[in-house]
Amino acid sequence: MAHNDFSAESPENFEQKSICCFVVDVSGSMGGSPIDELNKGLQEFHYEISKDSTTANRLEIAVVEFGSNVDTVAEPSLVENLTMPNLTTKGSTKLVDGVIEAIDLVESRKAWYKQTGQPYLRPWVILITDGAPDPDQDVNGLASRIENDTKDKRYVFLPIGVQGADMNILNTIAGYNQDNDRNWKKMQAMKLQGLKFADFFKWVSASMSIVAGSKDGDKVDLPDPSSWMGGFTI
Amino acid sequence: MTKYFLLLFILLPCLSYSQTYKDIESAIEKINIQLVKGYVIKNGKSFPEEINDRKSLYNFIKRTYTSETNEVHQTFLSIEHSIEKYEAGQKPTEFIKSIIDKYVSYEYDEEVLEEIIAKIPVGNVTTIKKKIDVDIPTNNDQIYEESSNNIATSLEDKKQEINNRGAKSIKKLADEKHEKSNKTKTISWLKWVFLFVGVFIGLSAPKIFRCMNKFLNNIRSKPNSNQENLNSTKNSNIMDDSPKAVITKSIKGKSYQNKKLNWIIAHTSEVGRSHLVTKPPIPCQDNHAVKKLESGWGIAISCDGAGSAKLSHEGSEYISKEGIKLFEAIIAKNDWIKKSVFPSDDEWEELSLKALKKMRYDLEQLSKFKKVDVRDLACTVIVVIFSPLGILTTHIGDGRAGYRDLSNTWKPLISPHKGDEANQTIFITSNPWLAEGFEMSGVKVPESNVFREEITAFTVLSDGCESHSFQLGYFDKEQQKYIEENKPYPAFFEPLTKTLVGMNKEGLSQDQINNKWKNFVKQGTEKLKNESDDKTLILAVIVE
Repeated sequence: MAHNDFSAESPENFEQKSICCFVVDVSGSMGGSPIDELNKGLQEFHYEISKDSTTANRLEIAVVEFGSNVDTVAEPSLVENLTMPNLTTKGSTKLVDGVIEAIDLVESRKAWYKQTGQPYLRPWVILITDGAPDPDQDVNGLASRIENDTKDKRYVFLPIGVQGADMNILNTIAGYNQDNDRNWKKMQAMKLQGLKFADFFKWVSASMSIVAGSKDGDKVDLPDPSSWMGGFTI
Repeated sequence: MTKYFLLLFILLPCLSYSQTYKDIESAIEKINIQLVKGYVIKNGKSFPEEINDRKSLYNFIKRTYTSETNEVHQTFLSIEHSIEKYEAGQKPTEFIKSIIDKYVSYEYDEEVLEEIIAKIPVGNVTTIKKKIDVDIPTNNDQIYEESSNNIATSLEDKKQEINNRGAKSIKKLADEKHEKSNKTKTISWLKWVFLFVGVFIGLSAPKIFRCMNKFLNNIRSKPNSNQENLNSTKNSNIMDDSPKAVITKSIKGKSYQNKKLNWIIAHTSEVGRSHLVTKPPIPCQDNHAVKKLESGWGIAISCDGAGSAKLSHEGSEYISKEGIKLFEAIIAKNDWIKKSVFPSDDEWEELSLKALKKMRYDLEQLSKFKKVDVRDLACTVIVVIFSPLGILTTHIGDGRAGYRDLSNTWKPLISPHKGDEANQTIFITSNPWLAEGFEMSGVKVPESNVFREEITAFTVLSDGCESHSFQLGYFDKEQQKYIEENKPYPAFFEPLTKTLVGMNKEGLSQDQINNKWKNFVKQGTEKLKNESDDKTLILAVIVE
């Protein structure tokens, strides 16, 4: 080029990794349109991430489903190596067990990053549920574990309620975040407007690329969620 | 007679100030031990019984809570540093309680601490305020100089010294009270001189205690003997005698002395994409400053404000501007440009450490003035002093810097300070680096280096630009390991330096060059366009 403009080539750098684990409610009540919309949303999400080449090289995705049992239906992998599973409904709501499985999954992935010396960002655990957990589930135990872990900055925890969800339970187990004055505040669980999974997953993919930009990560600056979130404010 | 009593009356409160100070110090030592003991036991471990003073406590903390961000470690350092903020006239118990409230971030047993505080002698809540002290110029960074020099021991030693001195002058005064009035005029004149000195020291005991610092003379405005030692004979033989000269290339800079060196510098800070999508949008938290001095010397500084700190854009702006002033003064006072000399490695390490401490202290004053927590102004800082002799660097935090040598090879100038997570780092406002010898990710904080070789170009950037311009590492599939690298990418910098040289030849002004530079950093490549973090990029090249 003429001496009129600057231009340069960038190196191919190994992108710092980040793991996002979705833990999804596949209990009977999700049957019909909820689960259909959710599946569509997951496919959308996969597509959005693949489009953005930077995030595609950074983001590892995993999916844990819970009904009467807990199952890891997608192990942590980059989008190019991942086929989004098609979820079907089955049984009751072992919510606490599901979340614990997801937390263990991201913790062991983080340990693997550390062991192999790979730079990584704080993991995310996103819970999507439409109901209340089975009565034998230890909600308070989970709440205190999540409180300790988020204050320790181990991961970001986002509980999302689909229509009909028990928001009180979700608020109990929500994680903690530091505000501008360095005070620890419990986050509010977020409620999905109707079944706007597509918008929600678009927002998640935008947030994923922003997580990479935030310095020292103790304040997560999320983009405006009003396109999919109803009723509650962050 | 009466004049002696009058002097005693003035001196005693000063002594009592230092006694009160001693009591506070001792109480805080006990409190710190109890705090750490409580924390250790609460976490199910055992606390060694032989720990009974701040020195052994600090060694224990360094062994057990090595992590720089660990709350026990941070709390201990913060409490120790704040002792020096005690002002004559303050109630010791209130002062100590305020420190505990401010700095202890973990749970502790209040009763145990109350017990210790209750035992502090009420002492003479003196009427002497700081303002009455003799006019000793305010040496701001001495607070940090004091605390950095082995805080566990030097405080004790220095205070002993002052107390002894005070005690001696009182004793001498008392003796002279008994002398007979049939002394000669000469002797009574001497007595007055001595009394004056005694009063001077007594009145300024608190101030002297805080201001004792022989090293500061290096960067003070008044020339004195220490400064001479630093400059003259040592430096002129630096290249011949210092062991490093054997390893590094000889100063070819002398060949530059007769040439007219001209630097063309393009520089900008641009806001990152992530700042624009939040509500409300966050301003660019990166700031930088560049100043050319005479004879091909100059300073370039880059500062990256902490994302979570609400006023870090102000912090980074302040630090970059103050940094230029401060380092310009250092260069001038040491006469490096006229004498065409560089400091030795040790000298530069010392100077840059003091300078960074001063900048941090000034930032703290700014935070007080703005009535905000100093952490709200948190930022990183990279300082590069460029010259025909080579480059001096010092930095705290992340970001990158590099230079091109005579063989046209690009090399790094700094190793960034990185935490556990990829985007974590340390800031000039963080406490841990005030303790000397502090390291993060295996790198000293601050990291200071002297590069004694001719350079033809250099660059300084914030981490928002690093993945676009540096080779940072690769994943070795065989070893299943990530191998870190820190290499300026030639295919990025070479075309840019060529274009810069060309633009200068074509007669473009600095403004025109910078405008094109801004455009490049904003969106010159697809990746730069999509970069979510703030971007600072400074590129300088020599034209003759």
